[in-house]
Amino acid sequence: MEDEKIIELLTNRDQSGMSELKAKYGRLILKICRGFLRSPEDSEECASDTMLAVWEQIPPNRPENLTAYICKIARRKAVNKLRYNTAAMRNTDLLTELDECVPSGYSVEKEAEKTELAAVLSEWLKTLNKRQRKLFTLRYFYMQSVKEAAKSCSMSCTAASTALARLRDSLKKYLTERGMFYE
Amino acid sequence: MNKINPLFEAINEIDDNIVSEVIETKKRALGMKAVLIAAAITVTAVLAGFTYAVIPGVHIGGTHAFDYNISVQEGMLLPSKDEMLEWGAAEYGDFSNGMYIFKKNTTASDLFRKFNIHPLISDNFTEDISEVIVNACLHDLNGESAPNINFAYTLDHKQSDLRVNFTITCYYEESELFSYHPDNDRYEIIKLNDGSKALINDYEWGEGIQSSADFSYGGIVYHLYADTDTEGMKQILSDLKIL
Repeated sequence: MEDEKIIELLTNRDQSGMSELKAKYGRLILKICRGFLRSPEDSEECASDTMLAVWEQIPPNRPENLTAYICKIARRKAVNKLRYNTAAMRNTDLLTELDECVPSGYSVEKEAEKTELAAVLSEWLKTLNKRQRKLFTLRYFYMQSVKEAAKSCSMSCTAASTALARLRDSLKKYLTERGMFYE
Repeated sequence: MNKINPLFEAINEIDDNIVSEVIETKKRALGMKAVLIAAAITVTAVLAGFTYAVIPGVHIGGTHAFDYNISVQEGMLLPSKDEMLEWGAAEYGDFSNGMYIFKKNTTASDLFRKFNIHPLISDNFTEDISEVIVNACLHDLNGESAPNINFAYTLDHKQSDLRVNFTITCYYEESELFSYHPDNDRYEIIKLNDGSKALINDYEWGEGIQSSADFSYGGIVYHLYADTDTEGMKQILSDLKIL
């Protein structure tokens, strides 16, 4: 079913909207949650929380891009779980990789700073070619393993890990030049 | 409450189009997947009592397009970590169990001489002392063997004055299988002068165009990209003396 129709059903509080949503996006949501969380139970819970959040938020929200909307809710739910239990994280290598881009001790406390960081990050992503952007997004948004991300981007694992290292370097430089780091 | 890397959270708020673009390209890729399989390997499988062989080569839309000939680079040196550091490498990336960077203290050619490999280069290109990244991971992050060394470097194309980005993969054991698909349907398959073929793909990039070329030559796998269109990329390949 097209996203527009699913949103229409949800807006009209029609439960079949949830069935359609689950049929279309259920696997993707669970995959995102599994990318973050070690325990299958945590992943299932996170996926359920995501579906519930979508039901609660549409309406009044009417997202233009349902795929991104749902993925972001799933990711947010998973990250919130990790706030209270980083041991629950599946892939700690990934956090360590991103630590290369941010000086130790750097933190973003205010919402305005978080929004600014996200905007700069989006800007930087748009300077990349499609394959680079896809690789970065698969690894750090969708939390795929290097192997999975490499396969999706038609690269060997070593080529993908090399490319990711260069991307992190480029991101760090971009953030620093825009004054995001206060050393 | 634990502190989480701010980037990890900020990534959640990136542009919606970037998030969904990946899902859309994955769907499109299913319809036009090209499978690159080393000519040196024939994969057999048993299914319900029958055996079948996967025909080596590139398959696009279910049709065999061309072979991707990967071969072991005889005599390629596999330096130890100490040797790499003595050559002037620095460890690179946090999970560097074999990833190194030569930070503007060597040319790619000088490095290739040390490794005893012979990738493509011609006098139609210049190279400065530049950054070269070497990924000599013996195992990928999932602990599976990755019997190759990967090099990322740049050469300057004299005719167009373009910087061409190279990523090459040299194998020292039997090659691995991996699938390939173009980024869109603007691709062209061209013939190289050793009988093999290359896949050229161009795409919008920023305000302009970028193109990539994927092929094997002399047993080495190449991925090139530069800020030019398909015709420009063909000129680059011609100047590498492989067309």
